Amino acid sequence: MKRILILNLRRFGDIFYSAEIMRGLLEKYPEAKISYLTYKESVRATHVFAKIDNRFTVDREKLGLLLKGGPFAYAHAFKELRNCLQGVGFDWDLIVNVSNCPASAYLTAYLSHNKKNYAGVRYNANGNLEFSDDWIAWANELMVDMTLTPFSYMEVFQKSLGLNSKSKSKTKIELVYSKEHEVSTQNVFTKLHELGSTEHIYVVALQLSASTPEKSASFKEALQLIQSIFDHPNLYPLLLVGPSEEERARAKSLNEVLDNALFVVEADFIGLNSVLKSTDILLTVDTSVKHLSAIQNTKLLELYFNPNLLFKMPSNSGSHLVLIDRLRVGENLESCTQYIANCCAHILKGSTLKPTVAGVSLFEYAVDKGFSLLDTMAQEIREMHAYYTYHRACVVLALELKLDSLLFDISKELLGEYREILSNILAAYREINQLTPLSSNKIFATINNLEPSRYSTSPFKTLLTIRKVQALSKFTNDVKNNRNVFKEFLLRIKDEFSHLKQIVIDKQGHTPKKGVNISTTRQQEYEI
Amino acid sequence: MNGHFSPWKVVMFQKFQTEDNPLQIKYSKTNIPIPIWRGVQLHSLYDPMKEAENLIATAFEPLRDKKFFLIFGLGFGYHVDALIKKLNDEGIPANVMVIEPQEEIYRKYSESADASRFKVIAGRSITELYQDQNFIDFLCQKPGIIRHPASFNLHVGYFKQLLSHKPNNSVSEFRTICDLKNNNDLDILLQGLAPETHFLEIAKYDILEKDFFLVGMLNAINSTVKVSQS
Repeated sequence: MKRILILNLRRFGDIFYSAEIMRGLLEKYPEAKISYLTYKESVRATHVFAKIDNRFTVDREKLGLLLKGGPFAYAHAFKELRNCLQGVGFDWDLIVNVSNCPASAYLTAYLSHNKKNYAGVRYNANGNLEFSDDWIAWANELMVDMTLTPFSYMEVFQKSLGLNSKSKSKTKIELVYSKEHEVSTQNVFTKLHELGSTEHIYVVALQLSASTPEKSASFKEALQLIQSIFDHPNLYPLLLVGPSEEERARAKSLNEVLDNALFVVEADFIGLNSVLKSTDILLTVDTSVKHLSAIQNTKLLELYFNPNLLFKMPSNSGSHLVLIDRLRVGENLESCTQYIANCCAHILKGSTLKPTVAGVSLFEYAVDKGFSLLDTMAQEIREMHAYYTYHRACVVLALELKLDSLLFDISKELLGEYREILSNILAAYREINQLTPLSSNKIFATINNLEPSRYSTSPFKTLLTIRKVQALSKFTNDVKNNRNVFKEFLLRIKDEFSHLKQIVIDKQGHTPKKGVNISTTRQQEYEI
Repeated sequence: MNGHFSPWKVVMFQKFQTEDNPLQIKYSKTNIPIPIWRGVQLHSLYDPMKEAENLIATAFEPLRDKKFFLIFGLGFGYHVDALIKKLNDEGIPANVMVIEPQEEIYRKYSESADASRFKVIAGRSITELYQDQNFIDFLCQKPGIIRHPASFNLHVGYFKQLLSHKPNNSVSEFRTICDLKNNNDLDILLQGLAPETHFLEIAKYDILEKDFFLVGMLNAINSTVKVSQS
């Protein structure tokens, strides 16, 4: 029986987000026992999952206090951390570090010391970062710096662990429900559904406040949106609020304007499970509730106000997304919110509605396919999406050696990139062979100079970067060792480049996909 | 607090007292035993209960938001009882720890009083105190501090040292606090270093054994935590 430990030192939403990894692991290893390790402040999010074998916590707040000095010795913090981890042990078949942060990389190194039983990132005995596979290396070395990410974190982990996506699986994550919440939720929803005298009423749960103002709907936007939903003959709004004075106050202010017509629900995570199960559709900004709803496959329409945040952590059950350009929408807020309300109604009926307001774009996200742009009036959004699609194809080519037909008609440019980067590699090989004496610093500098500053999306550059970081993780203080690591790296990358080049050449001249525009700005990192 | 001390204990206390014993017992006007340590009375000889209530009434208000309380000085615990009563009245669970420099006072107190209602650490040096995990865990709760004036004034140096204690973070201090076992990789490494070596100097040796991954994790956590200085 496989013992698997999920290591997640992030927040509530990230814990809900990781449910998809657990689901995939349970499908792959049906007899597995999955345990969870997180910070104490976040552990209550794990209580929504019914079948966690063990929950382990590290008390970050206490450690922070001990580390601040004053009367506390460093030893106190060390002892506290060791005590936290005492129950965790080292007897794991697989440790999955989903956090992607230095603390979790050290912790993974500690728990998987001298073993290879990990997925994700860890430090090695030389103090260098080590990656379990190419996809993780790509995510940590390249994806973290990207404004527009071609793959979500979940997709990276699915590829890293060899997991099937939800659409291809019958395995589900069991959630915890409380009887009390189930009863009270049923009562509320029954009353709401009875509000429609002749037509069916769909309940739209709304979560419009996020952790930052950038992600949140403003008070005016929230009010207009709720009003638009009230005005729709088939929809009824239900406002979800988190357990904070700020959100309660905002809900109260909204209700004052709406003559207390708005149903407001404040629930803990277990209670939210019941609400999200019963609601017809969730209309939300980028919050942890979105990821909780994904576990139950609740219909979802996401609202974004910043395109740079669009692609990073979409819902694992797929969703529609509305991107709102506030400047462009301007005075047309009412039309915008009416569109959103109508969009909800269409999604509930299994269709979509093209945006009719300037400044509004509609996307669809499916886990296996990524983001599709359904419609927009903004040229820069079309270009952004084209760039995303192109970049995605480049990464797949580099890491999976699969050439998307999207790249057929730019094979000449790809081969140009190949020749330039390869010539750098050959020059480096000659330099290292000739140089005496040779220092580790010199080898390190030579490796770093291999990557041209251009071609940020190039599959050749992507592959080079990944192989480079994997080689650097093997560096020690021994120059002879480093020289051998470097030579091995160069020979390997040369062979892989040849293979990649051959794939491109074999498809050269084939008919490209129709109706696809390649971004003309692919040479530089795309920015909005 | 009635019946805190049984009348028949008076006989016991009278038999206990000798000229050489630094701890003497006297009785207040309200017939409550008062410890006298080296000639210094630790509670009021008129009405120690009233004195304790007044102390807590004043000391508690600024600490109303606290859930944990650290008291400097035990005496015979009348102020501790007053605090616990106050907490009960306010509906706050009583999490109280008392630091008493003199073990003998605590021993005498616990002969006839229920010492299980709160934690007491008695007769420990400052170094020993900061190696006591119970004390460290309690400090991490950011307790409100209440001085028992008579005890505090009698042991000013001790309590000031407690409040201003700074660790030296040496290898020997580290080994003592962490209580490393002999077969532990880290302890084997540390044994090879001079005891007064600063623990963070060890990074210079650039050795990464398993336990040093925990050191790395602590440094990483430190950069993510925003804890208010209190």
